[in-house]
Amino acid sequence: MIRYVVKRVILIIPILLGVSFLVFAILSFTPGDPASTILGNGATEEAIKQLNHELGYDLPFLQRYVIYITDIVTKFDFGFSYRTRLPIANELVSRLPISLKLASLSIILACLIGIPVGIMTAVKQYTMFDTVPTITALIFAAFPTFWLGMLLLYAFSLKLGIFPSYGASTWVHFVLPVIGLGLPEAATMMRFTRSSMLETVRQDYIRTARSKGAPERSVIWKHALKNALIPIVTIIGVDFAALMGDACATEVLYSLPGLCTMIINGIRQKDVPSVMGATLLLTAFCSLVVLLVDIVYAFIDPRIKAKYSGSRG
Amino acid sequence: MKKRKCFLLAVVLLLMLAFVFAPVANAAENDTLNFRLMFNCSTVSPYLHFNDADWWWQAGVFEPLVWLNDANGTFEPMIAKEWSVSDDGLVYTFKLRDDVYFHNGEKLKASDCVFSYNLAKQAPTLTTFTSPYDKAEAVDDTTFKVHLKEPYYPFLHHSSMIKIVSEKAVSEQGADFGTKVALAGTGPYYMTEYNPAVKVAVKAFDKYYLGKAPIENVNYIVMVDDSSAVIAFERGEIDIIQVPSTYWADISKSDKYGSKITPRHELYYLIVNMNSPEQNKILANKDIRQAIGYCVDKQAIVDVVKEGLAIPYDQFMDPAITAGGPESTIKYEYNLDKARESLKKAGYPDGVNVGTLMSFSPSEYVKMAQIIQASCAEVGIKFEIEQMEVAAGLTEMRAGKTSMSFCASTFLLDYDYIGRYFHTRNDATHFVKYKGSDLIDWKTIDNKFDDGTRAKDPAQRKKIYSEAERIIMDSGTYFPIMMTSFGMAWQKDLSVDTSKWGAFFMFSPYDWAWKK
Repeated sequence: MIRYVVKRVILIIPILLGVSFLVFAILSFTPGDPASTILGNGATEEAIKQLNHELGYDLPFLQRYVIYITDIVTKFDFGFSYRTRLPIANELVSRLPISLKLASLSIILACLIGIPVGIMTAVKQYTMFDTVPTITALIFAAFPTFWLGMLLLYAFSLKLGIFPSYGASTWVHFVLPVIGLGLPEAATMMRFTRSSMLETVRQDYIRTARSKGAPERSVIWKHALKNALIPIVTIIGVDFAALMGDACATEVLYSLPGLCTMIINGIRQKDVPSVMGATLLLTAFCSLVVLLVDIVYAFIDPRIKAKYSGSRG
Repeated sequence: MKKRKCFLLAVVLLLMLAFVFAPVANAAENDTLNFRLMFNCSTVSPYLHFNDADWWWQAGVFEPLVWLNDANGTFEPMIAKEWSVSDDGLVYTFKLRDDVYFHNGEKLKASDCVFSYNLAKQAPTLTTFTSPYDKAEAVDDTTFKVHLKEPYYPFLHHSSMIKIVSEKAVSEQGADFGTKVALAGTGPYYMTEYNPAVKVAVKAFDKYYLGKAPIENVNYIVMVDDSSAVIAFERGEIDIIQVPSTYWADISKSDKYGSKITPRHELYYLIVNMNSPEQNKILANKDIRQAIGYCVDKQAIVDVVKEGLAIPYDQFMDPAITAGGPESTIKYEYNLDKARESLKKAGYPDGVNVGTLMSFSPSEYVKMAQIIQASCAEVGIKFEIEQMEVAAGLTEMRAGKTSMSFCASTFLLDYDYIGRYFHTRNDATHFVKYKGSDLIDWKTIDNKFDDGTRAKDPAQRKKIYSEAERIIMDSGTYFPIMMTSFGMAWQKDLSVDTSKWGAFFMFSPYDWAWKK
């Protein structure tokens, strides 16, 4: 098991290198340079050249890339923002907790709503307890995040005055963003849980459990759910990682300074180090979450655990 | 056992609810004003690159020697109480106030001004303002002299853009200056917090030479999204806001808020590249370019794009308040008959395809492009609209690769300032390359902008620049569209002195106070 984990962790390195090269190349080869963006449309050529030189942007693409990667590997230095001249590492450290908080609370909310409702709809298939939640889930899944976020802001912040409209200083500030991001996710989770459960309850071992006279509650919670959970855990992990990078509209709407807004601003302002830093962090994070999901598999599925144990010998 | 579990669960739920629904602290505390910034900040330094957000908060923290009041185009004392220029126009002498302190407690001396001007000279962002500057000298603690390379009469305008900082405070921070809280300014507020993506907090400075500001704390809060910013304003979490144009009609009519429209000196214009290779260089034909100019329905653009927060404009700068600003003799009003005439004269009475109009991706530019496309189509001028991100679009425009495009520029109130958009010394970054072209008399334009800076008499300057503007307007390469305004709104419990508004980004909270 440990060998497997180490192997997977090592595999993250080429992934990071590949992503970093791709993003660096895209940013470098699209038209525009940071100095032109920073200095505006009336800038002189000398000023543009001088600023690009100060920022190190006048070096050849490959040289800039090698310097960038070498600095990260040898000094853990992600460079500094072309726009604010602040170290990227500091900005990542201050923004990561906000993105983490937003994504993790949203996924918790999605699980709390989506999984139980999904189970209920599967168990009560073709009844009112299935139809109503399924239609509701379809509606929520179709809501664009920004639209739902705006609606929540209008209702709970402006009209009811319950929640603040911006900021990230307290937990209260996260309530609306988490609902806005978590509800559509809950809808997806519910639908996935439903289909996973439906598939499981049709398996032979469930029929066997029922024929042996096991109570229905036991059949559902002990036999069916445990098996249905395996693909759900995958979805939770993958969606959690995706939410980290998918929260752009929510972050902008609620003025949450997370990683997504760092990437968006960086792209607009040709701030290569900002985009690179945030992208690399998200990539590393996604890879680790996927790895974690695989490890969790081993704990919830004895067959997988046995396979790992077997391969050790 | 089960009952106990239920009870515990209920307690936990209640606690959670109490926590979640706890009354939200009112952001607008009595002594704190919250001001919305539309963008992330970029720097603390007034010499590094900056955007609108930096301008707003720095207005109360850093001060120049003189203040350009663009409500009337005059200069007013700030750190310098008086100033004079030598007869040969080469030396500007500033007499400084002797009661000015920096936020670090140090008294301002002329040597700080020398330090500041030298620092500004090294900054690429300020090249335009410092280019005529040769050297500075501190005659004594309260006398500061600037020597120019050659006579340059717009210099006072430029000096109003150069802020004075404490040599000691900046030197202590070294390379970090610009990235963290600095007590280096002389303004009515000093910095207490700097988080460029979240907020900048400032506090009233006890030793400000005009007396302490009535409002103790000001938070400049970054809120990028317009809709949520308006909700925050309507909720009272934000006290003063630059209202997005789509919300202006509602907010300005409401009796819950104070509001005022104030000039911004930001011109939107259409650029037609006479050197474009598209469609067999069709845009080299001046009559076609002029026909496009007559198709620009400025009023429709103002109504649709800015919803009243702009006025249609026919020239580059307002001659009433711009030093050297001439009254334009050639104007392109919206007139489709004239457009048809020009097309006929160009030899295309049945219409022509002119290629592509590149629009930046923000929707206001796209709307402008669509309005012009529709009216051009009425006379038979056809083109495609292509969208690009601003950074990429600007690069294409500067490379001369676009046929038609838009831009918006904020001009300093001296006509010399727009010289950098037309004088061929900056040709490499121009959207339409004039240099070496036989389609425009670029040498005369260069000469006029050079002569204009050397002419002392304001009337003479207007005359000189008038000829430059005539040639540019006649060339049909740049078409002014609209001059935009700020629509500002504030909570009723805030007393806002708007008499200084119209000033160039000079929304200093010093003149505001809470109503008793």
